[in-house]
Amino acid sequence: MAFEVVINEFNGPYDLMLHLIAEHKLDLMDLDINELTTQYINYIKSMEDFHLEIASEYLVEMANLIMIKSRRLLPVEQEELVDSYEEDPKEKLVKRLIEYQKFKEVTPILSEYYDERLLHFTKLQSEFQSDVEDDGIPSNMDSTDLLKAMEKMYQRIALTNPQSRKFEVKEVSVDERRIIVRHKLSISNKTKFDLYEILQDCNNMQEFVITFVVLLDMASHGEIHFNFLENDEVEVEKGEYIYDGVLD
Amino acid sequence: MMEYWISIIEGLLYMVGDEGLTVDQIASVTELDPLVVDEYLEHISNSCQTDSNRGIELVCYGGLYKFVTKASVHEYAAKLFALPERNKLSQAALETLAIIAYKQPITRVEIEDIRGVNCDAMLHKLLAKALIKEVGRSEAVGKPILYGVTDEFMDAFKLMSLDELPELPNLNNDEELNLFNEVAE
Repeated sequence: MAFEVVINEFNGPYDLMLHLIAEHKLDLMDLDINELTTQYINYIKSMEDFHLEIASEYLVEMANLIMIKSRRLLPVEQEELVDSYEEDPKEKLVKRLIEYQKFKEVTPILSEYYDERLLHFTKLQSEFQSDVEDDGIPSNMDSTDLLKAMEKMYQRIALTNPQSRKFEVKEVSVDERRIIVRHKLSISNKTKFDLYEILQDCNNMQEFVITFVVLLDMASHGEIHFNFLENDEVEVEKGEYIYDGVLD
Repeated sequence: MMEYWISIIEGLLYMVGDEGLTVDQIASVTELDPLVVDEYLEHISNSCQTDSNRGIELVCYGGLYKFVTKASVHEYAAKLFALPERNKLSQAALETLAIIAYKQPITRVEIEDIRGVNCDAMLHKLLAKALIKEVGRSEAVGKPILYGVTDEFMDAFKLMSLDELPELPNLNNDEELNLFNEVAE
């Protein structure tokens, strides 16, 4: 049987253990530590095979599992003093798993509440100017409180950085570009231009390509000519065909 | 008189927006009995809720009454504005919040004991989102900070009070139950 590993994102070693317990149908109340330890180690190993970084917390719990397992192999001393009673590490682990499981079970409900809340909007408090002449600081506070509040605010801003920003790609059409190029040619007294001059204002590759297409198209209509100079530069010259559209 | 006060309260609630008002705040400015204010608020809430002509409803999160738009508005608001992607909370964030909400006041170490992972960065994140706050210091060694949830948390999860949190499932150990029975016998 091929050993298949599903790389889930686990929220810590207890999460992983609960997953393994559920997957291998182990009884949490009567936990088979040997089986859990084996599965746990297998899982960690397979994560290693995938060259995934393993957080130290997972390794700590692995050591803990091995410790519990190995203790069980040792003969139990019959005479144990009652006051030196130490909580059975296995019981302790099971308790923790149960505790963790409880919170894990309520989170989907909370998540639902959260999503529902996002559908409702509030508005900001109305702004109004106050004519009351005071320094705006409540009597039970002084300027150091203000300073503290300020500091807190800066901290909060620093913590929330980087804030998400939205970028939009604006696509430039051939027609738009043609208007710009014609305008550029018509407002100048020159009849010859360096190719660079015309392509200068292109912000990205896409605009560059489109502008180039426009130039080729204009050349085919005789609006412009290309002159290939000796120093490998290309010159654009106004042609005999003058576009007589509305341009100011 | 009732209509008059209801209109005043509605106006005040509109004005304060997302800051919201407590029953006591309304009672103190209107000089009405808090119980009467309660009744009027209920009236406003019902009339918004039952009247399908209305686009807003009255909610009470963490004791703060405020107007919010109805859920049906969302779809159109999204067309009107490029609504920013509201940060989804990760499973880890939800877990941490749940632990704090149920167990507050609670220290970082206690949270980490339950989750089994380091929560330092997560607590910083939640503090930055103002979903939790420091509520004091524990008497334990080192006087660690105690955390609790904020009004913003109550708002974000539509909770009137912490009693409204879903009940934690009862997964108690059978052994403990047996032990309990034995004692009872």
